[in-house]
Amino acid sequence: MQENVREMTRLWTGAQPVVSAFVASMVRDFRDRDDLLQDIAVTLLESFDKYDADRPFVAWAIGIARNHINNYYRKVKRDKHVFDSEAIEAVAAVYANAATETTALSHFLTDCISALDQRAQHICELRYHQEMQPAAIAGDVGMSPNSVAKALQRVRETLRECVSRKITHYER
Amino acid sequence: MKDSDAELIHGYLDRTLSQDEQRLLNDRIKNDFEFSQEFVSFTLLHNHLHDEYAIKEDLEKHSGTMPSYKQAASTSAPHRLRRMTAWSSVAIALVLMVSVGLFFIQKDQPKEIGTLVEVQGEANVIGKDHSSRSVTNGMKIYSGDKLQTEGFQSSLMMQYQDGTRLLLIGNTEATCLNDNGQKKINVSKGLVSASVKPQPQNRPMVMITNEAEVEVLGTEFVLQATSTQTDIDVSHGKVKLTRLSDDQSVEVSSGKRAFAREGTTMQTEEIPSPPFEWVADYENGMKENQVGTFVQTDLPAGSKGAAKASFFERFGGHYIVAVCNDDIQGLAAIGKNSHLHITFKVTAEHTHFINWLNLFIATRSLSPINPEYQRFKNVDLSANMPRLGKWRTITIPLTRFQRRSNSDRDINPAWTGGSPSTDDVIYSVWVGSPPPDRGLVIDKIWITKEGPGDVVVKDVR
Repeated sequence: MQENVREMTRLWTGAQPVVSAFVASMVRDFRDRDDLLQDIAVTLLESFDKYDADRPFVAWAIGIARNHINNYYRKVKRDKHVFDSEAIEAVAAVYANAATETTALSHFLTDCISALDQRAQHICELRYHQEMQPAAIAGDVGMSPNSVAKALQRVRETLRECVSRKITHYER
Repeated sequence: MKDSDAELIHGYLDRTLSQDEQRLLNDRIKNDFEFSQEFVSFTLLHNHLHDEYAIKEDLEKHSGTMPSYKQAASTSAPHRLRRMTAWSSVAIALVLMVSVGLFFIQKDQPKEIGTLVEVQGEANVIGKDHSSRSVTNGMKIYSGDKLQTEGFQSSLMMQYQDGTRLLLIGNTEATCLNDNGQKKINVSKGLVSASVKPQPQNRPMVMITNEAEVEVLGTEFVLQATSTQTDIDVSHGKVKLTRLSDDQSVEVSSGKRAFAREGTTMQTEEIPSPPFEWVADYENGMKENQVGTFVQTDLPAGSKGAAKASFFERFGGHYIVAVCNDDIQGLAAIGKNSHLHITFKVTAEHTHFINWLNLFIATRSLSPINPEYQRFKNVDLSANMPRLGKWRTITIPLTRFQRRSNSDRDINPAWTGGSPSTDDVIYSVWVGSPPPDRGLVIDKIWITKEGPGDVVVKDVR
């Protein structure tokens, strides 16, 4: 394999989780996310000779992803838009520095999900495995949609705190 | 975070926002940096949760453990399989793009000359046909292969079929040839240690650099090559060092060193012992072996220069200040009461997850062929962070540095495996943290032979 392709593949393997999350945060539909990620990967490979190795690769990849998202917004219906270009830029800037949080999640999220209580795990399963929205989950668990929305918020906050505690312990 | 802000973010993730709320979300992200950080933190988690469950589902499907009620749901979510195959297809596309236009014709079978016995860090093996091979312990090395190591914590050891060993350290490149049974090694740059078994009289091993040629019959030595100079230290046996520009040569025997550089007299001298004390104070800018960006503003009184952490993809994508000496002697020898001192500051706040600085030293023994590289970590720097923008000096006994105690190099390594040996030398020090940039600036790093015997922290005006 050519050296530049090998190097690009290596860098992309590290950056892909962050770029994936950035794209998902902007388009929400995971099918569209996957399609965009393929296009982004090809663009990165085609323009790898323009990458300045003194800059973080993640930031460069996020920049290219941002362009793809802008193009995507131009093609889809207006009602799928949530963010204007300034907001996309603001999110991209934060994501460019999110590589370590991504790594932390990859390492510790499974354990933290296992540590949730049974009800929280069940709600998580319905939301992320069954891909049910709060209104549908409400029917399954016998709660109101508002209560389900609050429960999901608590689950995410709990998971985030759990990962944060684990990474702090790891580095000490 | 305010409840209303949290509701906006989580409502977005669960698609319960009205159009007005979506507009509000957009505006909050644009105008409130902390809000946008929270948004990113939760969308990151949301994405991970989605993929976590997708992977779990695929594992269940492939292992046949997926409950039947899930199988129906699974087949109705074809995008999950698309997600898993998206990466396969990208990987295949990458390989295909490379393969188009590439072809190999192997006229001569390359001659096997040895095997790789140990690899650390970044290393490559490039064949005569310029193809790169994945580096693994036990892989075969052929005549004409170029061995490369990159970065000061990288090394590669190769063993010939007769037991002769070569060790490449740091940023080093060497091409190994077999010329009718004679070992020839072209060292384009870097540090190569060798332990050479007795060679036939008429076919000594030859090491060639830009400046010099070394003939070896059987010995242990360390050779260091730059574009203008070749140094050699001999620990056992004898070698003949010949300068290529004028054929002047000198014999270098046990315990001696010599160097070949144009315009100087070739002579041998005793190999000096490494010093116990060392300092990097950045007063005259950054040196070649130092990592960081030179800064001259907002320094402690009397200081003329400091080093600001730079981003390095190669160090796992960290912002770091580092000093390294790949050279045989390293930075400093380790004494019983040696201490490391750092004067530093940070100028940027930490994020939700990241609020530490990592401090590592790397050591090696002075044995040429078995240098036993070790890395040690210390937590006292991270536990004694100064207020933002304020300078602080911390003094740490080297005995407070610890190496990994288990073989788990991934999650939760325990750093309780013992402190540096007093027979060894320190060859690198590095301080840093993962993104975002903490604004770490180091005014001075130094090592002393003696010290207080405990961690001491002092604020600097």
